Amino acid sequence: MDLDLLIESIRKSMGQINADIDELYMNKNKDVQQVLERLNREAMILNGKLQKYKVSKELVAEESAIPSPPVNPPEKNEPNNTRLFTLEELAVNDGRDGHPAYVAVNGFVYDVTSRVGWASGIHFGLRAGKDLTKEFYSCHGDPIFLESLPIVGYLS
Amino acid sequence: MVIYPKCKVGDKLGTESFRCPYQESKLQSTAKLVARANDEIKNNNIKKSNLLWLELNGCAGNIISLLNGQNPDFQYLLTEMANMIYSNSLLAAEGTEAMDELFGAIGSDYILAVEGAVSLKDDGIYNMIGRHDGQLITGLDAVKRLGENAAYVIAVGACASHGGISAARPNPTDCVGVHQVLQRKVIQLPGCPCHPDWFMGTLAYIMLYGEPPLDSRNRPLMFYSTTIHDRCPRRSYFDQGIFASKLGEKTCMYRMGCRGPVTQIDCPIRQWNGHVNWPVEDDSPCIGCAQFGFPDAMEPFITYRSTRGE
Repeated sequence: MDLDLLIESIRKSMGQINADIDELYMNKNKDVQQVLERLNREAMILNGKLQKYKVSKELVAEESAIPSPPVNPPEKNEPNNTRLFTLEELAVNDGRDGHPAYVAVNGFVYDVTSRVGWASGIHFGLRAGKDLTKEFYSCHGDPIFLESLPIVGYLS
Repeated sequence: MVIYPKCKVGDKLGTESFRCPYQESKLQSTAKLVARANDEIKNNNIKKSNLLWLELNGCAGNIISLLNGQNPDFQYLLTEMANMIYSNSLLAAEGTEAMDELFGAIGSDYILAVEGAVSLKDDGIYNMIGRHDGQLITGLDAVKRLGENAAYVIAVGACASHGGISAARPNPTDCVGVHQVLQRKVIQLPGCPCHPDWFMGTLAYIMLYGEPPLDSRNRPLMFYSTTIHDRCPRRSYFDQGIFASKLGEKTCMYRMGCRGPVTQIDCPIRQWNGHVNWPVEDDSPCIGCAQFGFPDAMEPFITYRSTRGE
């Protein structure tokens, strides 16, 4: 089984699991038993997929390496930092619902998802997914530490 | 920025307790300063300070927090360290007598501690603190008259430091921090509320040595120099990428919007209510109450949307 396929199915399962956890958490008038059964099923599905992947890796290791092309390459795996962003595309990447947090300063689009100051995609009241050039300069002035941020693209 | 090794000050479950000398010394900093100040007073090397405590546009949370002080405690402050000439909440005198005490201090050597923001709208009439010589005294008026003549002015709490909750959107009475209405240096002790240790430690330092070392925003370095993130007991989880997705979990709450990384204060070491607990230890993210911009710049205090959908 392909790694990318596995990642995709894990992603889908996590989405389902988180939605279920949210439901339980928000105390919706649902049958708790039902939600728990769904969670259990997702856990079993994930486990099954992990087993399949493990088995397929062992087989591949035994055979001589015959490269198999990935079936559904997820776009995140490409180390692409020349992507052009429109403001709308940038707005999607605000750190919520599983999206990374991107911020545009001076035409460059930076990835701030793992920056400590950007917990949950917010930095001192500013949300990611925007062009924050003005706010950046009004507070930070000297842009020297921008060099340490990974660039994921350019603002079109 | 130096990152110190991560240690816990004794494990509460008792299974292991190795003490980090750095954490211990930080935890004892206020107690040591206050004890030293007390010794000097006993030996007649320094005199007890005159202390005026003004409550302006706030919730009185800071004086209540001070009353919660332990080791040293508030009684100690009142009897050994300072002559508290005026405090709206604690003064025995009432009415004219009380206001006379307050304004009578002008001309003497006193330290002014202010909690609560200064309400500016319509010349400050939305915050009246009393009547003196037949006139209603606004908070704005009081802080200006008493602040310009004080030996030191200490802004206690978020509201006095930068407006805090009193100045939160839409700020109907134009509240601002104390330093914006005074033409002199104001020592800032942001926090919601201010920890009793931070205030008593600063007061003791002032009595012993004068103005404490301050950072560029006038906060005492002895309390406000490291971020919560750098002293957080859950830092290893952050470093390994193990994040909590809801309240009550024991792992790093970065993905839920913990403001520890942007908040410079020593809560992980000092803790609260007699040094026993603090929000993160109780499985709740830090809301950055001791950093400038609280509360508007720290919102939302918690979010579940970072992890949903992954």
